[in-house]
Amino acid sequence: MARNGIDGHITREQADEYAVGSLEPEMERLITLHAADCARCREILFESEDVAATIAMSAPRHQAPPRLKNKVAVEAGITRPGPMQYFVRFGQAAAIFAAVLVSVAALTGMVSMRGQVQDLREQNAGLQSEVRDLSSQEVQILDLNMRVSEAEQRAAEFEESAERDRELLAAMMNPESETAEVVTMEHGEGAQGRLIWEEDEGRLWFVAHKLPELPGDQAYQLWVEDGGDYIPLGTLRPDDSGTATFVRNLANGLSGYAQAIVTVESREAGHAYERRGDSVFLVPSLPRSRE
Amino acid sequence: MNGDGNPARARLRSLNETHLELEEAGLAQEPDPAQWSDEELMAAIAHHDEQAFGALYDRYADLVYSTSLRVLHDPQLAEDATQDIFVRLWERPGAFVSARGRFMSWLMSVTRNRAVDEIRARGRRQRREASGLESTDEPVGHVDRFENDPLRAAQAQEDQQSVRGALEGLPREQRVALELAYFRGLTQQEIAAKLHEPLGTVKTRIRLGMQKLRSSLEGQQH
Repeated sequence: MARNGIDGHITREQADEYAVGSLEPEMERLITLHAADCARCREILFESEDVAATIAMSAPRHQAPPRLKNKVAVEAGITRPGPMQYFVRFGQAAAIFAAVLVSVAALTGMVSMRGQVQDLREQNAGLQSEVRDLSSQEVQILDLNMRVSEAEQRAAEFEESAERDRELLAAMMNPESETAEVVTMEHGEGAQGRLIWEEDEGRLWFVAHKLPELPGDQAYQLWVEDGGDYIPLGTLRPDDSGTATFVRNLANGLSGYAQAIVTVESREAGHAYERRGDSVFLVPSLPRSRE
Repeated sequence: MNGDGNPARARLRSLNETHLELEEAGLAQEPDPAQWSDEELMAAIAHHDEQAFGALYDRYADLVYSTSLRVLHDPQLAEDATQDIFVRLWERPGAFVSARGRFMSWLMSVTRNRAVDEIRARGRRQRREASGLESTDEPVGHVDRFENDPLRAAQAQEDQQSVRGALEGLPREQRVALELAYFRGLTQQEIAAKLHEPLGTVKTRIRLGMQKLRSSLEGQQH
């Protein structure tokens, strides 16, 4: 394996780094995808995970709170919540309601305070500069709040992406899954694609790497063909590294479709459900749902 | 699905068939899931066996909670993470494929990833980094360390003794590099920056540390 890609098999050192979680995200993703297709490398990773598990086991041992077992059972739908839990939930709801009341009261107080400041401004010009300072601080707080919101949004996106990667790995290793051959067409420019059909979950995955960046008014569109008609399944949204992961539930499976194709479409064409653009990937033979 | 090649499921089927035969002969006793292997429990959970789920929870809840607590340093967050992991395990048991390796290694990997995602999402890393390297062993807030359950305390101590010895047997710099990666979710680049060491040095420490852990574990098995 090269520093920035996969040339061969995973080394023991890379497997160890993967197992302790010290790799950069891009290399971690490449190893995950490679291992999904390579039994030999999977074995190396499992062995490294066994060793890494001993690090977890070295953590000081604490007893899980006794109430947690019942909470897990309720959350999993195994046990219905008891009267005490209803009471706790009611208490939580009441606490939230009280917090809202306090917030409204505080807001009302703030409005009132601003009214008083306005009066004082009329009486004493000296206070005007103080009010301006306060306004400036308020703007700074608003700016900070916006930054916090943006950071939270980025964190949520990261978490969502990590969750999807883990689900994809599970799909690839699911014995009920089938992988279809994906042909890269002329306009793919070295991109690689993979289509996975997860039979027991009824889910279609399409993963693509090294997708060329597109202008803002164009998108990668995934289609399935049904008797000459092309039905859009959705758009692939590559990240900065050109990697895109697409997943969609297909309740009726893939049996009705002859092939799948990914094209570059302008936004208008994509919405109009017409296939007009150049082809990037072709999946000439789709996995069949089992009877 | 009679011949899916899964040894755990095959053994479970065999156990069920044996149980049915004994039941017909009036000799059946309730099977005790606590005696089953992890893989047998997971196969039973895939068939919505609540007793099997309870047994698996009893077997691993403390370990999952302790690992989460070690990463998150917050009893409430660790409790949430533990709950989340077991609920997902019940809802999607297929996420663990027995051919994938040992269940416990998989569970520890899931636990570590779940907890590290949590600290990344909450931006807690920077705050904890400021707290220094040596102050990471004890979590904030009250946690129960089996004060009222000496039997479980003894069992936990026995479980930990060998693996802890292996980790503590490493040179300090190797152990620190491994713990920063595993429990703090730092990449090699981030560890190098934090320790003011070259990237190659950090990579070497992780490689040597894992090699020694592996040798130590192999020594215990023989």
